[in-house]
Amino acid sequence: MFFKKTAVFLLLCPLAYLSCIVFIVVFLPGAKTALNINYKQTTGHSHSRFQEAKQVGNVDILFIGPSTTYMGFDPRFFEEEGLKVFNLGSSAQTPIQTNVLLNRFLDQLNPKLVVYNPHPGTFVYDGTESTTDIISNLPVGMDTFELALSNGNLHAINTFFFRLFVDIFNTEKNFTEPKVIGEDTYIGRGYVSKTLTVTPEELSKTNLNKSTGEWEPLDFQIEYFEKNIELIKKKNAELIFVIPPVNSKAYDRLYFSNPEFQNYIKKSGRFIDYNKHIHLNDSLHFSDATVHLNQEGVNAFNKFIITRGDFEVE
Amino acid sequence: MLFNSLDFAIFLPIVFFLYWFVVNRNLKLQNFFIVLASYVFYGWWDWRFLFLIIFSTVTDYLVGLGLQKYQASFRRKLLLCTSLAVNIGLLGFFKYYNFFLDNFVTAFSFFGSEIQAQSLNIVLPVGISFYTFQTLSYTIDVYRKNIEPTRNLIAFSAFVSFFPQLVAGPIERASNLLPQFFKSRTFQYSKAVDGLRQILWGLFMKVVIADNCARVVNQIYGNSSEVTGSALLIATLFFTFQIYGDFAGYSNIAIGTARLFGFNLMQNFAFPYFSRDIAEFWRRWHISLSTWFRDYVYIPLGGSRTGPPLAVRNVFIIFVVSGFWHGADWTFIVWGALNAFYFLPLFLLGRNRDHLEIVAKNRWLPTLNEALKIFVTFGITVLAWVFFRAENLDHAFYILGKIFSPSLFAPPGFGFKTIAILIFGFMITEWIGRRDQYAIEKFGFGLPRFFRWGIYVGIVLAIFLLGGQEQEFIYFQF
Repeated sequence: MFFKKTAVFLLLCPLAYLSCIVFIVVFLPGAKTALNINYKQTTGHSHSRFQEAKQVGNVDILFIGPSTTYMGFDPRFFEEEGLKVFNLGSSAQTPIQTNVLLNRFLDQLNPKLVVYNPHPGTFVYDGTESTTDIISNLPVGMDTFELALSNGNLHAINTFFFRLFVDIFNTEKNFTEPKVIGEDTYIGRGYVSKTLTVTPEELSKTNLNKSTGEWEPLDFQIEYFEKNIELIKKKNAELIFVIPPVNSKAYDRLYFSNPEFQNYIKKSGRFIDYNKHIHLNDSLHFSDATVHLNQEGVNAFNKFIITRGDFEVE
Repeated sequence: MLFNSLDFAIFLPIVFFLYWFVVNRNLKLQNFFIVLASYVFYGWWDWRFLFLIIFSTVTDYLVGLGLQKYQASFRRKLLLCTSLAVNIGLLGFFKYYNFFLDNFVTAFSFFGSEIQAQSLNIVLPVGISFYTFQTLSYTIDVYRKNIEPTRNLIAFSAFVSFFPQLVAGPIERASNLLPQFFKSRTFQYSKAVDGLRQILWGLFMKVVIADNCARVVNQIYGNSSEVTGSALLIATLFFTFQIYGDFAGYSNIAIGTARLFGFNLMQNFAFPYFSRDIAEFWRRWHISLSTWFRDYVYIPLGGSRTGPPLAVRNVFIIFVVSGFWHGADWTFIVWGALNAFYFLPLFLLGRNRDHLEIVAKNRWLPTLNEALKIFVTFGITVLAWVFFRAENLDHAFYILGKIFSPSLFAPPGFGFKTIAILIFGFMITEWIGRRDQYAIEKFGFGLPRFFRWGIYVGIVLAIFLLGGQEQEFIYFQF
């Protein structure tokens, strides 16, 4: 009796849960945020980027990594040099999400060079924000299901099921993401431009907690980081790790200058930390007081890369 | 392994199935399986610390046998001291070493002497405060000849490491839990269903109430210099429910899980926020710890039979030690002392046992007088929690100062409607179920099964759709 009733109850719960999700998808899409569904909550134009990535063929350079990637490498500069590039960065992308994106798009984009931006902060947290961003914006697959489960967070699981029913009911067939969201403009080939500058007042007000502790990456993020390197090597693409310029305060306070982090990346392959090579203005070249370049900053940074010839491909 | 994790959701059914269907014919095998499952449960966090549990288990097992063998007072005292030294020594080293060292250095520098001492980077083993107290209760009870020592090492190991309550209680007494390992256990439908119901309610308390409150509390307490007094008051109120949802939720899951395996654990929380005075609050909050201190510290010190000055001292000692048990920080000591100050007037006036029954036992609503008493008791409890949550004493006084400042009347600067509604619904449910062991023990029993199940399914949905970001249980750090 116990087992029979428990089995019925355990069957009933997922049914009720899925019915609830369907109800929200169909009738109450506006209530999703209040119900632990982080569906397309993150800015960063992931929808437009992933849609465009499906259409793009072989590229010379593929950029991967967190928001400093899609706001740091403007394809227009590289195209002027005759290079076809695509920027596959996404908000707070951690190695486990990079792995999903590489598995989805690497074969199709077939890059000659992969420029991997390994933000040190992405190694030390489980990445719920970026998980829900990826799950919201990619069609459902086993990889996104595994991603939701591996994250284990209710938000990730609920978002996955929400997306599943969005796909089943095809409720977003007419959805087009606006090119301009807030201060962000989607330029194309994955790149997002920001013209905003950070004022000296904002800069002085921003109080970043100093990461005085050790850089302690999570085991599973390290595991996926190494899997990503393997994937890229298997594809016979060249690989280069880069840290784009960040605000001088953030450089010391968000693990960028941490010797353990730097040594770990150096051991993993060719590594350029641009903070040691180019000095940008904390106010004029950044859109916030942390890590994001504005278009002025990107212009200066990308011209610098091209002048140096860091990303030359055969 | 966290109760609110996928790991535990997989672990529990596997252990349950093997326990009732594979090893159920042999009691020894069943106990051995409990030990094994408990070690897996604990080792999931860090297997190295299993050696501490094993060491503590073997020590107290041998001390128990020694206490049975020797009748001479000196030898028995020596054995008891061995157990106390080992258990309190382990606890002292892992939990209090750095605290004492830092304060020792500070005290000497106050008198003009500089001492060079290096703090150690010590990892606090999860649950050490709980299982050391549990094993201590065994040796003390054997020493007092209240219970017979056991010769069965497996059963004793199962008693020490029983996974549902290993890392955050209830701190069981050997007289209650140990005999249950010697009785054959048969599966009882009603007990198992009750266990599942209690687990469900515990999960709701943890995931929906505590975790949602935690998000706001962490944000506001982490930026206390930038927020208003009203924001700090709301955050402190939320912390009041966070710590209750977290710890009472854990206890409910632990007790419910134990029931699934045929064990009865003691009630650890009995609706403390409906208490009419602080004495009643302490009879209803973390009951297993309060009674532990009563039986093994307060009464041996002479309790209340020693005359007022010593009785006051004894009261003070158990509250301060209880505070210190929670953490190696002055904030916890002050929290304990503050509760002693709340308690002492009642104690001295002989009013500390005025409210032994739950409020409005045979009525739907409390009287105005009762409601007022509940409100005042709740209010002073909230203020005490500031010390429990603050980073240090300066931080606690800063928060209290800001709460009692004109900024108390400024807008809090954040929305809290959803959490407030959740807490309100939660407290209504707690009020309805206050006469039982846990709020939904008999909830909806008069209703057709369809509605009752609807309530349970609703709770499951609430956990998924309204639950907060996963947080570790607060009491793990103790």
